[in-house]
Amino acid sequence: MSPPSNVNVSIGQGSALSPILSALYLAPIIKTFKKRIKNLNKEIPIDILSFVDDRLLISQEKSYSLSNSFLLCSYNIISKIFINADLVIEHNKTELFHFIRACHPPNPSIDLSSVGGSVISPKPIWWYLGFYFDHRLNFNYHTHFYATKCLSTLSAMKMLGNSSRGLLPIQKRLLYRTCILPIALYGFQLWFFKGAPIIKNITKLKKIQQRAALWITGAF
Amino acid sequence: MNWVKKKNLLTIESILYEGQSCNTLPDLWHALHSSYNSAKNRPINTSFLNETPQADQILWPLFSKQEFKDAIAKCSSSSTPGLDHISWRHLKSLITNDRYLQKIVQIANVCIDLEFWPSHFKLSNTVVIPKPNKNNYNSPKLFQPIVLLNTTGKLIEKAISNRLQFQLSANGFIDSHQFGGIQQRSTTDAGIYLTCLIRAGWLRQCHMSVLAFDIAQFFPSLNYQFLSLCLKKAGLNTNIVWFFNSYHSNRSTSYS
Repeated sequence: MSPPSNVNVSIGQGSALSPILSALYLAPIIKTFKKRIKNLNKEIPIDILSFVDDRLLISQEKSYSLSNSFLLCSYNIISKIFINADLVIEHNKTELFHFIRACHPPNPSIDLSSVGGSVISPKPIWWYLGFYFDHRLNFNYHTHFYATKCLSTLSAMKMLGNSSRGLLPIQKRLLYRTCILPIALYGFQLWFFKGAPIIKNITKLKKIQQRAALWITGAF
Repeated sequence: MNWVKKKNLLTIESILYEGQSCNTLPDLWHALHSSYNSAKNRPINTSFLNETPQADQILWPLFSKQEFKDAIAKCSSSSTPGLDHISWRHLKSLITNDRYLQKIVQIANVCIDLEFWPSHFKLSNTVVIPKPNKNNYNSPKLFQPIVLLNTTGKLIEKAISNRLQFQLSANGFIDSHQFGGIQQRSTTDAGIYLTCLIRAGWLRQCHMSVLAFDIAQFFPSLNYQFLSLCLKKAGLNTNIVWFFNSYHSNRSTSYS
């Protein structure tokens, strides 16, 4: 253990007040950004979403070139505000993603070199806050990823128990409900709603449930 | 059978900091400390704060016993206590006694009243654990610091935080587009908001583009001077602003 040393950060990790204080810190930045966007002589359709240190700029437009220039413009505005508030944007972590309904859409990239970034081309799947977004919002990749994760957890759980016997069904059920279901159902609110095409996603979840039921009851 | 073969041990690399490897303990502490706990606190230009309107004044009544009961109910009894070794389990059984609860409420109210945060609550122990699924661990940035604070102080912090969350959302200082760190605004809520926005855009025959970016070293680089201006803008009275001033000064931590 080291000798105590002085901490001079304004918001330390571990304190219960950090989340609310960081939200407080960002509130004026977001407000200023919205105001500056409104004050531009041409109204541009930009939305902002902020999650602690992750920020999103969302643009909606019919043509790609227009939407890219709007994004570039607002990116420029927000990075200036951040510099004033002593925060630095990590330009090499900036990502671009287009949501388009068409099956094989064009995927134009954006050039951020004028504001200190680089040319960014969108990836086929975009990972954000633990969700895997695809460009048509069907979340097939998302459920596939989490279903695979659950199935491997399930096979690992079969090894549990001591040398003379395994777990009781009631303990197995507890394990399933606490360790597997939350992972499998992470973000289901995004794709499970009335009228949504969900058959593919549901089949994957059913497979997990079936395997788990067999393991819990000991049937075969 | 692949897994019965001899497995080579991972090569252990020492942690590099500013191009030099840390071979002695004091070097290591120094490297860890400067990457996690050193704010630059550069002088900043806060003139753009004038563009945000002043929020309504927030009233700060005395704490009630119920606020502390609510705050402690959500704490996990198994989480590790701070340097004074009082765990949440101890505190939970203490608080069932009305007399002790009354004392804690009094401490909290006096802290706010005197604009002072006791030095006992400022001592912490930082445990450094590796972040999972990395190829090598040769930089302090690949480790996650876990700060263990004294639980009594944390309980009071939680009560203050619950109150701030409610009041800042109520007076509209925290924007509706801001998620995280606030109750009722989790990752799932952010995801739902985003998908709703996209589907609404599709209905208008638009296609949606998203530009995601994040901030380097977010927590350590928050500036104190700016934060206290934000607190004033949010409509908190001077008592609370000075309390936070005391709260942030002279904190110390030890690494293990």
